[in-house]
Amino acid sequence: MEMHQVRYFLAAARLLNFTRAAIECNVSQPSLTKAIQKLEDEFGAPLFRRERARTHLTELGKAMLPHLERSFEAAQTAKQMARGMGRAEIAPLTLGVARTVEHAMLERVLAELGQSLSGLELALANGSSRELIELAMSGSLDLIIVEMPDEAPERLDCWPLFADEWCIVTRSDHPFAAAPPASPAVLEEEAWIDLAGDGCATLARIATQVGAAIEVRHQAQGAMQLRQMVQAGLGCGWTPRSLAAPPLAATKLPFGSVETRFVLASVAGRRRSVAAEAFLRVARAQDWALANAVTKVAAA
Amino acid sequence: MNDYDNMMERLTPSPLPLGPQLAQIRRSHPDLGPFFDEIVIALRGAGVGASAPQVGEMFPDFSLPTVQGSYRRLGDLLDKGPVIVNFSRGRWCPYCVHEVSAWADMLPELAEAGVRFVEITGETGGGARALGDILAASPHADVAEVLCDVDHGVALSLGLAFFAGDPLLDFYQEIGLDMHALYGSPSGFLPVPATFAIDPAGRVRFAYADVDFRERAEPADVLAALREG
Repeated sequence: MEMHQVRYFLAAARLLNFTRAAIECNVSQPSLTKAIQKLEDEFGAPLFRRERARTHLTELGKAMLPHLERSFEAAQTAKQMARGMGRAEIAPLTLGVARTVEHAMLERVLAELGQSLSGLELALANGSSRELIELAMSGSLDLIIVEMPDEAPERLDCWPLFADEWCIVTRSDHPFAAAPPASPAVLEEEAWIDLAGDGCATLARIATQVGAAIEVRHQAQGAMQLRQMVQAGLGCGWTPRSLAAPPLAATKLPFGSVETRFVLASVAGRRRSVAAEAFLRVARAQDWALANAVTKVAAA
Repeated sequence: MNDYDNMMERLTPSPLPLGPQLAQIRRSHPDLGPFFDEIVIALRGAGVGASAPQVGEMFPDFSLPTVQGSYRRLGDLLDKGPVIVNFSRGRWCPYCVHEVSAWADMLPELAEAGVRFVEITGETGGGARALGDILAASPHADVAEVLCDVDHGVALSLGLAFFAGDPLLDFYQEIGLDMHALYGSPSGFLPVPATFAIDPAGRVRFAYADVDFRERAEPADVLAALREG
């Protein structure tokens, strides 16, 4: 397939009218029709169904639309990044990062992006995964890094980045650091610290399943605060392992494990800035699981 | 350099030609021949890859991410000398692995000629690292680089991206290749394997693009074209 064919296809798919699409693309309608037919030859079936009064996308056309859109955007980004490098064009990026995410790769990617796009204007937002998904859906955020929701909105594209296991976070002199809790009843004796309104939700659920009830007493607004509170001896935290930086200890729950898949997500079909497109592609090119493992080895 | 070093230099075996290696892979799966032939004929009929850059044309500039997390611009590499740009499908394709290995063997000659090698793959999630490792094994790995063409954008802009079609995609699924996981997308798009030698002015000196993924440009021919230019 060729760029102009895809460009004509995208215009025709948006306008559902070949005449208007041809005007928008600044070509004659026969040229546009011919280019789309060539694309259909390659796909082996029609992408449009043209009736007298209306033009529709076929099922194949509907299925291919997001992919053709994405590859077209990737091509544009590769060109713009080559042209824009070193130039002071303003490149805004609004990125939401869930409070449960701390990742060395994020820093590295942002650092490189800042170097490649001298006009980068980064607005970082923080929140729970649910809040960030809402902000993305409402158009306030270009991209979000969040916990994969059980039921993601249909229009939310999600690309898996890495998985992390939830752990009990304690001070290194806490009994859990030496031996994991022997029974669910032990969990009841601890004061728990809530991270940004999650209420230690999954831990509470597991505890309930095995007949125990945990007491969530303290509230932390972010990972840094939570670590400070744990270090101060106020109680135990329940977070992804990557948040439990030394000198704190992370202990796996012996009865019931919880793993979260973190994803990079964005609302499908919405126009994104060059910086957002560039971040999306460089982030997806990386092995985030590996980067996290490497950081841990370095820390240990 | 002393005489002994000179002698060792001359004794360095020239790399094995790629063509016979590819033919051997093909021979090891004779049953697949007619199936692949049919797909290749259909793609050629649809003109896939026909609009790729030709010798004498200017090669369009682009910038793509590396597996180290930075962006690399072709134009910046051309500032240092000629560049060979190679589009491959990925680490899962035996033809690509052999091709990249052949290029790894050629890196000393490339380094001597002041030529850089850029390998491009659409693999995501760090998958591009595998082809990079093949090149990294060479003592002249510093002249080679792997870039990630996520969503096949640059391939598309060169007329090298195509929809693989259900027969081929079904076949890959049957043999356990998860294209969605490899490319981070269920699009079913693949790049046409292609090789371009570009001079520092950005002009194409050698061009190869063939939908028949079982055939590749012979590395020695590509370098020879740059030397003649």
